[in-house]
Amino acid sequence: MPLAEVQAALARLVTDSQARAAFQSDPAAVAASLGLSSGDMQAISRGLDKFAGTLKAKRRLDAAKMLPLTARALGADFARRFRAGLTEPAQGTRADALGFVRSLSREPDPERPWLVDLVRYEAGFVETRSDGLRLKGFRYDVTGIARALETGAVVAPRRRFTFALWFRWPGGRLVLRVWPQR
Amino acid sequence: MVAAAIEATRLGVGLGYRPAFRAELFLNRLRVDFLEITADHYFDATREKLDELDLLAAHFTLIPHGLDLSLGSAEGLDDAYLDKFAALVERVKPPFWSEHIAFTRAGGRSIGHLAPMPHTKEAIETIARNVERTRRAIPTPLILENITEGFVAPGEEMDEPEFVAGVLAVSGCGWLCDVTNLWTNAVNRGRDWTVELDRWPWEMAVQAHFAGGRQGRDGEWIDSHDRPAPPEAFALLGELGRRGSLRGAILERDEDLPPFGEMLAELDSARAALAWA
Repeated sequence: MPLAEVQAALARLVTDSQARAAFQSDPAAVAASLGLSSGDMQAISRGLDKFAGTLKAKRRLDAAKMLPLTARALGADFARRFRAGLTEPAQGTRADALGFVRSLSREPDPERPWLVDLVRYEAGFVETRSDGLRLKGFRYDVTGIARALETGAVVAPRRRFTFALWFRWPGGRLVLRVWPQR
Repeated sequence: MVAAAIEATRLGVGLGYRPAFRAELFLNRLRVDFLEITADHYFDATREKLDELDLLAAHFTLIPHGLDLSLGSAEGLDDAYLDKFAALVERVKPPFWSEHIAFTRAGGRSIGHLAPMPHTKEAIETIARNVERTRRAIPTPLILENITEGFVAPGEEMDEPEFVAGVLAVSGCGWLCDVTNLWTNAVNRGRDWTVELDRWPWEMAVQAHFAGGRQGRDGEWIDSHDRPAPPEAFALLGELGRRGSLRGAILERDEDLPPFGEMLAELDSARAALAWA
């Protein structure tokens, strides 16, 4: 089988959980539909799920680097909630991070009512990474929450209407303004 | 031979750069000989990220290490990605740069991680063809890294040592010998790495990677870069030091960063293993 076809079949199996589930339930049929021989099928069946799991873990780690304060706030819960909201196919780390922000924003956390503000605040930095203008309002003192998480202090959220403006020209530096100022 | 053609200055032992330890890196500047940077982090970079790059370049030799050029893709290279890499190499002016014996894109899909190549003649020729295309855009010497092979790609015509040697010989690239990946693949496939030592192309090695991983629930080793490097990695570095003409070695630590002093101690262990102390 030509290399291009082998690689296309492998790429589909490791990135498409439905294709992978179908393969696991009926390897011969799926292998035949992808043009793989029975020998090919045996070669890849071992390790396929694990490799796919590695991809998901990598997506989670990369998204956590884009949303470090959210990752710190959620702790061990970050992995579970990220997995629950993961979509396929992968569209890159920025898409994963913003998709996770949307998913968290839809599910207020009763133990951390300020969490939605925090994730929207972190999203501002991701959204203006290359250029753009964002103006967002928050119910909590979101920069105080961010500072507590950055320094490892206990988060003592204060309800205070806060506005933040992100602005970046293409190729320029980020300008961030927050009102009221601390 | 490309490996010999690369500037012979020994770079020493250094770190894969991670922003989290930037402050401590500069406080311990003299104990880190050079840095490897993840090239992709500086593509379409923010102004702040480019400032960081210039700061690092002012104090260290930087080796750009790519993740997504997908030199193993039978469908060819992404020209836009290649242009970004060329711009970075032009900006940083390294003695060499690196990528992987792997593919990350196929069939219109981005895998998002390094997938193993089938060990076949066609795979060797595909990589060589893509390397030749790359050389026209980036004349700076390229070295290629052996990856952890998370699954066996179908159609195997040769084993891993023969495949890696074949890729390097036909492409004319030097070798980024990841000693941890080499050991991990051997252990996970039930091969005795000590018996295979003479079969690897040590003379092609320009730079090494060493890192720590962990065992999964099924006992297989994972290239997680979140632990100290195992003794076997240092033993293989010793082999490299004796058999090759290595220019440098880089510690890769991506997650669970320990106190910076512990990473510096690993650099010293590598220098001792290489007899570069």
